[in-house]
Amino acid sequence: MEDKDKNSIEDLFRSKLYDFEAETSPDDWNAIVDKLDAPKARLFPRVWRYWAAAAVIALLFLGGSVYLFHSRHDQPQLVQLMQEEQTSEQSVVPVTVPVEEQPLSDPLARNIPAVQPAQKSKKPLRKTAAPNTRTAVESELHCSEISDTLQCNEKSMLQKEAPVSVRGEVAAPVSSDAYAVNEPATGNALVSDDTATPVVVTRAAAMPEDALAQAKEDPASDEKMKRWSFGMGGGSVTTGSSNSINTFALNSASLPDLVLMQYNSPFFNEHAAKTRIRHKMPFSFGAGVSYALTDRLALQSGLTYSYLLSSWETNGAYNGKTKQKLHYLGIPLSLNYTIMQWHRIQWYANAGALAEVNVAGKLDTRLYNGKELVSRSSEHIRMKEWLWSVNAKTGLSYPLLRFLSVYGEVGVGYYFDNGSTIETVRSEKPFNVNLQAGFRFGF
Amino acid sequence: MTEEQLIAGCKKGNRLAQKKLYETYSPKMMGVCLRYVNDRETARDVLQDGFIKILTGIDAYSGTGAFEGWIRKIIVNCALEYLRKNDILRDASDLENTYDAAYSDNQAVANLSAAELMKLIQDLPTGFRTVFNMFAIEGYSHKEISEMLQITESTSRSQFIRAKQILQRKVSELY
Repeated sequence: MEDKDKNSIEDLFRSKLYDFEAETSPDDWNAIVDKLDAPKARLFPRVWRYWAAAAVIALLFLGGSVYLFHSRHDQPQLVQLMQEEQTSEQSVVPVTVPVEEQPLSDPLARNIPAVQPAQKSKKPLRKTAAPNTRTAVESELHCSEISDTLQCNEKSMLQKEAPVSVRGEVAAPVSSDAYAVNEPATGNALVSDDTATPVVVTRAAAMPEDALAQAKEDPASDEKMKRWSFGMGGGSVTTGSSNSINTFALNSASLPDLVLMQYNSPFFNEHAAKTRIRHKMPFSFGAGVSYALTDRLALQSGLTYSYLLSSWETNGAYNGKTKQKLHYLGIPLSLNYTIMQWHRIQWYANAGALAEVNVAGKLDTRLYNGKELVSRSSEHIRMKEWLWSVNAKTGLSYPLLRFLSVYGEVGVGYYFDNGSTIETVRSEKPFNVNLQAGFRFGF
Repeated sequence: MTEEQLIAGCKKGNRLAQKKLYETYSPKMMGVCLRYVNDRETARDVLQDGFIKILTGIDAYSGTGAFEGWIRKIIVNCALEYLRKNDILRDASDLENTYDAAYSDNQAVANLSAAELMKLIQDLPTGFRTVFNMFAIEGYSHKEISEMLQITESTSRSQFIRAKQILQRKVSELY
C-alpha cells in the first residue's frame, strides 16, 4: 500500500523538494555564532580559565612561601619566650649554676651551647651539650604537639642548656656527632664534664625516662617522621544540580537518544515528553601525603578517586533510561593551615587545586515501549579533557586513636569548564558547597 | 575540504570549519524548515536552533550513515519541537473530512516548479503538512511516524491520504 502511494504524486514532490534550497539571511550565521559563544562567556573565556587555575596554584605557593619565611623568623622569639619562662620559674627548680643561666637570657648564645661550659672545664663539652640540645628540641616538639605547657615547661627546665634551635633546623653536624659519641653512655654521659657534673647529674637524674629514651633517637630520622605524614579519607556531600533537556540530547552522544526525542515529540498529544535528569552525589575517597612546612602549615598531595553517576529518564509511550558512570583519578595539591588547637581538637583551613582525569566511563541506554524493553545499548565513554578545580575548606578534626581521627569540614569548590561535551554534575554545577564528615587514617 | 575534514574541524571547534559546514548545508536545511514551518521568520529560528545543536553536538555523529541525513534528522526534530511547543498541530484532525477525494494528475504536478510545490505544501494545514513531509519527502514509514508523533499508524496513513487529496485538488485548481 505504501509502495503504491509512493509511486504517485508524492514521488514527484519528493524528487523536486528533497533537495530544495532556500535563501538564508547573512544574519543567521551571526546569530548562531553569538549563541555558540554565549555559554562560554558566562564563565571564563576558553584561554583564561587555564590561566586562572594556574594563578590560584601560584598564589597558594607564594602565600605558603611568604608565611614560611616569616614563621622562621618568628620562631627564635618563641624559643626565647620559653627560655624566659624557664628562667622565671627557676626558684622552683634547683638550678643554681650562674654560668649556665647566661645562655638562657642571651639569645645570641643559644646557637653555641657548648662554648660556655667549655670555657670553664677546658674539656670538650660536645658530649654534654649534645644530649641537652637534643632533649630541648624534643621538649619543644612535645610542646607544639600536645599543647601541654606544664609538662613542656617541666621538661624544658630540666635542661641546663638553652634550646638550640627549632625543629627542622636542629640537625647541625655538631649536635648529631656529639650525640653519636655520647650514645653508649645514655643517661649519665654527662660525667665527662668535671665542673658541671654535680648540676648536670642532678638534672639528668630528674629527667623522665621517656625523655631520655627519645634522646637516643636519631635526630635526622625523627625530623623526617615529623615532617611527613600519610592519611586516607573519603566521603562527600554536595549540593543539588539543575539541567536542561537539550544538553541531554546532545551530551548523551548517541543517535538513539535523538530518535528517542523524536519518538516522544507528542505531535497530536497533550502530554509533553519530559526528561528527568539526576546527577547523583559524587562519591570519592583518597590517600594523601602531607609535608609539614612549619608547625602549622603543611603541603598536601596524594591521589583521589571519584565516581560520578548521572541518569536521564524520559517519559512517554516510548521511554528511555540512560545511565552514565564515570570514574576519575585526581591529584590534589593544597596547603593546610592549622588555625588553632584546643584540647586535641584541631581547627584547620585548606586551599588548593585538583586535577582529575577520567579513566573510565560507561553509557548505558535502554529504550522501553511502555514497560517492555525494546533495545539496550552500552558504550564506553571517556572525557578526554582534564578536569581542573580549585577548592577551599575549613574543618575540625579530633584524634580518636593514634592513627584514627574523626573530622568534619565545610568547603567550596569551583570546577573549570573543560569544554567537554559530556555532561556531569561538575559541568552542571561548577560551583558547589560541600560538607564532609568521616574518619581519617593517619600513619 | 572534504566532508571528513569538515567534520573533524567542527569537532575541534574550528570556527572556519563550522562556518563552512553552515554554508554547505544551510540552504537545503532552510528548505526543510520552510516545508515544516510555513512562516519564514520562524523557519529562520528553527534553522538557527538546529545548527547550534548540530555544531555543539557534532561529537555525537559517529561517522556511520550519511552526514547530511544526520543533520536533516536534527533539523526535522527541531521543527517538530517548535510545532509541539506552540501547540499548533492539534487542529489538524478537525480537517480530516473537509475535502472530498480528488483525482490525480501527475503530469500537472510534474509541470509545476519546486517553488510552486513548496507553496502548495506550505498552504496545507499543519498536521497534514507534517505527515506529508515526513512520509513523502523525508521517507519515514507510517510506523515510524506513528511512533515519533505518538499517533496510530492508521491515523498517520489517513492524514497522509488527506494531505495528498488536498494537494491534488490544489494542483487541479491551478490548471
